Amino acid sequence: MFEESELIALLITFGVSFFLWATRKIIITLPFYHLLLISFGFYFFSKVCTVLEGFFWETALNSLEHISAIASCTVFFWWCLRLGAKKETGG
Amino acid sequence: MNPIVGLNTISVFFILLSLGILLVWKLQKLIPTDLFLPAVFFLFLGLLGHISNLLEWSGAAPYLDRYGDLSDILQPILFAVLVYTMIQHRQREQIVTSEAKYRLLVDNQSDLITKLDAKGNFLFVSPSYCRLFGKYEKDLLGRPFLEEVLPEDRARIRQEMDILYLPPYTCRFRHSAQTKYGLRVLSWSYRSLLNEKGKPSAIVGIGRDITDQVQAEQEREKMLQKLESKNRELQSLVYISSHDLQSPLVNIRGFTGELKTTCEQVKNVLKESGQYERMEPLLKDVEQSLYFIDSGAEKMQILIDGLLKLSRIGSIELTIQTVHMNGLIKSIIEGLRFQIQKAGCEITVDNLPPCHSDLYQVNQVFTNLLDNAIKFLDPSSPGKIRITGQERNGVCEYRIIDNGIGIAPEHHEKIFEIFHRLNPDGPVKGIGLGLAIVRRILDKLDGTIRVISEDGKGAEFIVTLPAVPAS
Repeated sequence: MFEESELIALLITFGVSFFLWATRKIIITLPFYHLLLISFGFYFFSKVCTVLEGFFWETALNSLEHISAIASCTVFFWWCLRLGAKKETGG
Repeated sequence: MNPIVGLNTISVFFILLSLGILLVWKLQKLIPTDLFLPAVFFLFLGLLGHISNLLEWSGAAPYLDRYGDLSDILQPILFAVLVYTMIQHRQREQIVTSEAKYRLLVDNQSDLITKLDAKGNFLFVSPSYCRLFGKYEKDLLGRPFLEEVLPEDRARIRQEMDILYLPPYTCRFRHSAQTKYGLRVLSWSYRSLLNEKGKPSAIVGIGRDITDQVQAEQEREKMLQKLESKNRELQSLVYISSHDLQSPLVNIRGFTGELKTTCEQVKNVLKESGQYERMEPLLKDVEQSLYFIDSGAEKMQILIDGLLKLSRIGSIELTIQTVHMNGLIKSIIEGLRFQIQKAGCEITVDNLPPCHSDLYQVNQVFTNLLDNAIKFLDPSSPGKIRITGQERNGVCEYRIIDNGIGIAPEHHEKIFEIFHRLNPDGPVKGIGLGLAIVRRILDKLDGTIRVISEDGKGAEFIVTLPAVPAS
């Protein structure tokens, strides 16, 4: 069975997704917005897996959740790296 | 070891790397604090979640799970805050960039820029305006624009600016102003900014210091007046001198005729008295001298007549009307029938467009040109003259093309000069006034004339005159 906190986290993530969709025209002007959105995409997927693992394929979905979390962290790290590098070169 | 522990460890590793990178960027002042803080909090929450998960799965501290739940809930919120902060930051950056661009333009603008409220008080003045008047922006804001206008111009400018409250809500004017650099003339272009009710809420104006331009205009005007007066003086001088020279000339020619008659009488008396043989050489000398005096006076008479004709062109009153060129050319050819028959030439006339000019003067122009074309035909080949015409961009262009003796390119301009003759000793008589008169008349009619020709290859005279207006 799913946990309450996991469901709340998923709902909040849905809310954030809506916020990102609503501000998409401004977001595309942000530096390296692709990386930020990909990172959030993985994060979102890991939250979905967290909830779903309570119903079926527990081990597989749990692994997927953690792999997505790694991917999210990695892409976010890449974004941090590019962000400063861009400013440094004056781009 | 549980694989989840391993995966969590990798996540923790990347989060720590991200934190490290952000810290480096922050120390190097490459990212601002408002962006750094939400990113760091977001990563801290991620770190908290993953560490609690790690401890939970490794069995070291399963009770830490509740911190993981807290992180799960807060982390997406922090992500949203991060994105929101970035958006805000980006917008601020854009405003600063735009402001910098605008400042660069306004601060380095030599034109004057002002914004007035509906009552005509300054809301904005550009640095160029402040520099010109030697005042600070704060001293001008809220003050009436008219205060900077010279008192004698104020009533007029107030009247001019009233137009700004009526469509099309624009006005242009110039006024004098006492500036830091003395009395200057400023030219303004004002436009009203309308509110949602369609009423002027503010007025924006662009001004320029045109003192130098005005001075140059005044100078030019003075020069023009001077030139016109000199021209009139010259014209009247030519007219008076040629007119006054005529009476002594009439006397010279009249008394020369008297002397000739007297000479004949003396000759007869001498013949009767038988003394003619002795006096013959003396009488012949007298007769020859009288001939030279008479022919010189005749030539002078022709020149004076030409000068009078030329000087009269300037004072002719024009009657501008539609001139039907086909009919005009036909009547000119009729008038020149004797010369045409004598020269044995053939004249063809195309359909000519009508022009908008003075009938008498145009008649004079084409008579002179046709007369010249006939006079300077090549006697060794049959003469052919063709007249064509077309209308283009409000101008009628007529061409008189002949196969005559032609004109060498170096003489193309000289032939229009007064008393200029290409071949003064040639068989064709004249004083070199025909083309000078043509150009003078065309100048007066807003027309032009030019020639295309080569020596021995005929000539093409191109005359332009205003076309009949469309309406």
